[in-house]
Amino acid sequence: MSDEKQTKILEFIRTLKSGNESVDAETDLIATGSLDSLSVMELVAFLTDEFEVKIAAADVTPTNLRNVATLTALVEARSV
Amino acid sequence: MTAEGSRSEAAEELTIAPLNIGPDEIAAFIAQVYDEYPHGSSFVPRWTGPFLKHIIFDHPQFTPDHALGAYMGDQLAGLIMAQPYAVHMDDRRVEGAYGSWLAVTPQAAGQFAAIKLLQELQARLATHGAKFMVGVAYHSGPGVGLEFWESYARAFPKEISQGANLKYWARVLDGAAFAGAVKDPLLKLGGFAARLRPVLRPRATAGIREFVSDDLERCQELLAEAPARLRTAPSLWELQCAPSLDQGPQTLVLDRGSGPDALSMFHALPMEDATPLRVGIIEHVCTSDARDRRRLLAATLWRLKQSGACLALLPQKPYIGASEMLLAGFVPYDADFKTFLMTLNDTVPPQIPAGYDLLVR
Repeated sequence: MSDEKQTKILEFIRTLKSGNESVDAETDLIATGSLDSLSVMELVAFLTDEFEVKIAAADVTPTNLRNVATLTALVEARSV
Repeated sequence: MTAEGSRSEAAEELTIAPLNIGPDEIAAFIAQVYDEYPHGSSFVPRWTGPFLKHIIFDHPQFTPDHALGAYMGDQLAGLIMAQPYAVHMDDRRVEGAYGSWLAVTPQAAGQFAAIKLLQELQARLATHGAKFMVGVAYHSGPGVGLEFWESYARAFPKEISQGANLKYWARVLDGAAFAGAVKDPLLKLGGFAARLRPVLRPRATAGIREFVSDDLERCQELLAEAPARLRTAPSLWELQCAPSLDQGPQTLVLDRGSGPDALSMFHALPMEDATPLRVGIIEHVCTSDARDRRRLLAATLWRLKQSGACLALLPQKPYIGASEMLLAGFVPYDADFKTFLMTLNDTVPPQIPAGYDLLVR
């Protein structure tokens, strides 16, 4: 299940911004600039809809958004 | 250290704190940020230090928590500000804030500065008793305007709600100046056409004067009587005229001798399109009498024109008919404006009601 989530999150991130096509599971999304405020909010909306989780604005931290693995961990932590 | 490592550390180091610069520097920072993004199709506001000082920093309820900066080390990377603002919500007065002036440099775009600024502002305002924050956004450039607020509302629908599209009435005050200042060919044409129907010095000015402190109670009643569920509840300070239109909002009243029967609140905002232009924003025109409204509106338009404004905008209100506005020379202006409401306290309904009459800054 976790792998499936990772795959879905990765696929979505690749569509978020031009230049994100080469993002992989280990990419540091903060360091590479793959996410900005606008794309982060698109990502949060996607995670909320796709995995039916509640993510608060306070969850938007570099630690949680670092890479696909931390995002997957966030989704699992916020699963209701 | 690699470039990637350096950027990663900077992301962790972004701190939000009260702004440590004055209004003039803030205005310059906002202008610099706006210029770093491609401009949208709407005019770009050019806030001035004296105006920001008056409406935000001189407000009696202002605290350092109303003006926050995002700092990367010592470097200012973004800011957001709010002015204290109360509303009538049905039958009760609710204290809150009008939030706006969000500006983040493109260099900080990957640090989530805008989100952090907004979160921190909401948290700090709540500690001062604010129950809500309201704001108006429009397309003034990617990342600093409507797109950010709409994305935020999609991501966090429980934290922020958007109202119906906010539409305006527009009145060209100086056709030649307006035509020369705008880029859009249709607006240019409209500017030239407006020369056929100029705004003239009103003849019926008896009883129209500036607000004085004795008018407070009646003016508050007039605003409270506006047929909307959510409406401005100004304090004495907010109704008092700024020293000049360059420095802040003005209030005119129509008084036949027994106190105000009508009031208008308005300000002038320097903006830029093809060239700089000055736009008058009429925030409120409160009276139940259409004839009084016409008189007061004519006086307000004349004051704005005298100040050098070449265009006046008035938010469309459901209780002012289109025929009345068209007769007064206004035309519908359908740029994409939206009102946003963030509730900071669970006693405030999370959705903007269909009928509202709020401040526009």
